[in-house]
Amino acid sequence: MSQAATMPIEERAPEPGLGIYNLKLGIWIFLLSEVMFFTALIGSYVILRFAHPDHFAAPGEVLNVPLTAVNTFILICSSVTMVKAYAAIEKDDQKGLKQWLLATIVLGSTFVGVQVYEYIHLVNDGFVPDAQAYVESGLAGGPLYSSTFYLMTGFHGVHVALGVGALIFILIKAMRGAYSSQRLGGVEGVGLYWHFVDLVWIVLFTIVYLI
Amino acid sequence: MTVERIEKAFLILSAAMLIAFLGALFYSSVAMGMHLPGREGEIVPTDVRNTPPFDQPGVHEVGAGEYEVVVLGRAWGFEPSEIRIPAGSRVTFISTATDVIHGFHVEGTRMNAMLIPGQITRLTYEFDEPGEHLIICHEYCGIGHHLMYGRLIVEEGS
Amino acid sequence: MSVQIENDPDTHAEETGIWSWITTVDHKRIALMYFATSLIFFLIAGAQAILIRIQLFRPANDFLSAEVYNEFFTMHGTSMIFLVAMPMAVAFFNFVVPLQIGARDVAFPRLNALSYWIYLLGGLYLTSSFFFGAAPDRAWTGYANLTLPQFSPGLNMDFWLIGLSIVGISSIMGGVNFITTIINMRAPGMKLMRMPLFTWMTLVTSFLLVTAVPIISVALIFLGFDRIFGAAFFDPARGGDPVFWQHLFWLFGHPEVYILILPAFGAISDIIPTFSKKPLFGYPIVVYAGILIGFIGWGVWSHHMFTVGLGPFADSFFIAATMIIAIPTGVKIFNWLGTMWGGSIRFTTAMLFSVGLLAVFTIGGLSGIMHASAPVNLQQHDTYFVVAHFHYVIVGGTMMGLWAALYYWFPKAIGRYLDETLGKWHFWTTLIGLNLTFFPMHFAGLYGMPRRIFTYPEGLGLEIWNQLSTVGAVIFGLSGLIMTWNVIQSYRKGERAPADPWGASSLEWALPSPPHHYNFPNIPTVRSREPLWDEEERREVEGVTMAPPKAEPHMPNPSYWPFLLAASITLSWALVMTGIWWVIALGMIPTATCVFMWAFEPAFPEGAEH
Repeated sequence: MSQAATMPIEERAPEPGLGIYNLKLGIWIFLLSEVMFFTALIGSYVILRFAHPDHFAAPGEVLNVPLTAVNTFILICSSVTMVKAYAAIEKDDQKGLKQWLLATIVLGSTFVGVQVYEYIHLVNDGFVPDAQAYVESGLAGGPLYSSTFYLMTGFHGVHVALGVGALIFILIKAMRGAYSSQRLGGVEGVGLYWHFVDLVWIVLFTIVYLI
Repeated sequence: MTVERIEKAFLILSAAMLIAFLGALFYSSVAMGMHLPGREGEIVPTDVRNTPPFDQPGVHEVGAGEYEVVVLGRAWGFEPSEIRIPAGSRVTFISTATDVIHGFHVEGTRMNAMLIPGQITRLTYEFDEPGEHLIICHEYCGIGHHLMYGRLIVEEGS
Repeated sequence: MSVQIENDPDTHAEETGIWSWITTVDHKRIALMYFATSLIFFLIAGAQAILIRIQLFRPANDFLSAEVYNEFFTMHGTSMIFLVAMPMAVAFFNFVVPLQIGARDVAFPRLNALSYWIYLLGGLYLTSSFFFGAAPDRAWTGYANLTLPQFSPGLNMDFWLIGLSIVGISSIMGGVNFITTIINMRAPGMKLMRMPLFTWMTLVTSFLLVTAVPIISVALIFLGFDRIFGAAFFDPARGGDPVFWQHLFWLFGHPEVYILILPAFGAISDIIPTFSKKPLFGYPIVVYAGILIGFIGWGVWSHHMFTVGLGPFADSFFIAATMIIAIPTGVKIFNWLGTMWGGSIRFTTAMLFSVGLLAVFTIGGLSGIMHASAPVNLQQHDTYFVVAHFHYVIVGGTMMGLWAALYYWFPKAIGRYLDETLGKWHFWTTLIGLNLTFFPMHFAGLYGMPRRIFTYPEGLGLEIWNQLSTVGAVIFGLSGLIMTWNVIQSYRKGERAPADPWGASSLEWALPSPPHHYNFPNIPTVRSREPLWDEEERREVEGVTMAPPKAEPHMPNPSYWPFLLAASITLSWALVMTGIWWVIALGMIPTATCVFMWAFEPAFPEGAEH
């Protein structure tokens, strides 16, 4: 096989381009779009919160901060394992790639699981997005608190779940031996997305739980 | 790139015009205090009718030639639906909406504001010429939007 | 060195039948589907406009009921923007951009097909609301708090918000695809500053799509939370803020205006030089002006909201930004005039539409600058003056530009000319119709006619202006029918077109009409901005593009997953209307399944040489 045949088309960059293969560039542009999405969400949160401070309870009063702090730590760890997975395949270490991918998947799923657990508890306490029901529940703050909370963390959670799905896909491909130090576009693309989702969480955790 | 003299003159002229426009703009709004309709405060929209001054919509004389008009927008009409004021008076409109967003446009003047539930909007205008103005809701407010008219009558000064 | 090819790659191009269209990932076929679909939506939304105009023909008319009238003007605006103007521009992006930059397809061909199918199914979903008697009826701007369930019960606005969020996905994916394509897939030597203007404006528009559409998605998500899950983001009675919707909507809405107009600017920046036989006057200036419009477009949204009461500093800032954004647009108009100056002009239909755009768009642009001044804006806010303004910009700018593009690139796409006689009829009925429709609206607005009223009382002096507008609308409607007839007739039996029917300068004209399904048998090398206008370079380019391929072109596999994924996304989103969380969760399963199946399907034939 010639050198060209080992290079999938999505990893070829034609001469006047950026020198980044299409998939990676596409992911970056997609992340630009995601940045705008989360900026609009978080910006709205900040504006609503400044306009209606009485709707938001003090940190820790309603939300379980220690649990989520642990969860944040788990997600940060998953970024580290993702870096490890990428480093492994860069050195053609197939076993390392699979192990670290698996670790990332486990950590990511744990994060989503903890979030679901947290949601169930909150809903049982009457912390629901429905404004009428929230007022009737007699919890601290106002209905904007719960609706912004579910919107911010929920959309982030969906992103994490999608990322776990993508990681499972990458793991299955890795088990079929699809990646090598010469073809690692998929691993790098999912990795970029994963780190982005992590980064967003650090911002969200700070403004939704800690401030 | 060579720039001809006449081109250069045009460029300088348009740049100067732009700077003059923007300077006039900032001067008039900041130094002369000419403002667009402003947000004057907040109100609980479900309790408008019990909150002064909106418990008494209508025309109130507050001084010599000075009037305050308290206006409520609701689906689909204005309260009061007819406003009568003498010519030459200075009128301050204090307005809000009880349900959805409405518009308040006194036709033939620059009186135009959104009536926003939960927000009090204040406008001031001097009516010098006697005559009749239509008050229009210009903000789409549902099936009866086209019925939402009012009248403002400027009467001969006494 | 020439290689013997066992399977003539051209045989794949001849595949026909409905299945080949459903599974196609060829950007040229996708472009045709985009165009046909947007044309059908154009006719539907246009018919709504004519019915609206008939209703307004006389005061106190009852031709339509108020309910139906409200549904029509809402769907007219929503469809014309999201289902006609944007996708019709995307049709041209799809067809023209890969050919202009010397690529064999877009960067992500299957994603491209997915964009199309999501647009089609999302558009059908939105339009199907008529059959449920629940068409959206709260205006295309959907101002909260009128759209909350207390004031808008029924599924009408659920259709609107879910339909728009489906179509939004398609726009974002299209944007990602075109940016990647343009940045990464240019032919050797095609530096950024050698790209044709249409490609340039596609790039700027794509950046706007990728950055602006997420904001309307967020606004729609907030509204969906309010409507479906009982949240109170926009309900002032429970702590929300209706003005907050307006900020989000126009933060998207104003860049959207430039999403609509820049493709038209790009198209005529290619067309005017061709028919003036002169290179574009001040090419770098036109490029930079386009980029500048893209940037300043982000800083003007609140000029839609001067009546809200934002405070003196905010208002002054937005007045200033609005005046400033007129400058790059004005610069472009002078550049087009400069291009025509002293050129040998041929008035083909494409050129007529381009020149028509210059004249008519300028009227819309000038009334736009009038709105920059807040006191003037206050008198005209939400009156028919504004309706006149933005129709001059969107019809006189966007649509005229797109029709110019249609007459210009149709021969390349189909291999047949559009009929020029019918084309001239189309042009003149458009020009007369649109001016007769929209110019009187300025006066109706100045006489105090508000937007979106179902009918108006007698004796306000509005009758004559409305009657003129209605007559104009009928003429304008006729022009749409002439164009449709022309497209259908010329597609079937128009006059055959050669490779380069107009004597144009960019790469797509060095290919046969219609091009091979693999576009370029061999990728040419570009040495200048107008490769086909330099005799030596043209020989060189055509020596490569007209020759048989040296190696079998490596083309992506057809795939039915884009269609299935689009169908399941539409289904999943539609199920959100139920508001039951486990139905919504179950509804995501087909989407997830399709994504996985898609991911495992190889995009390119296995083991092929690249």
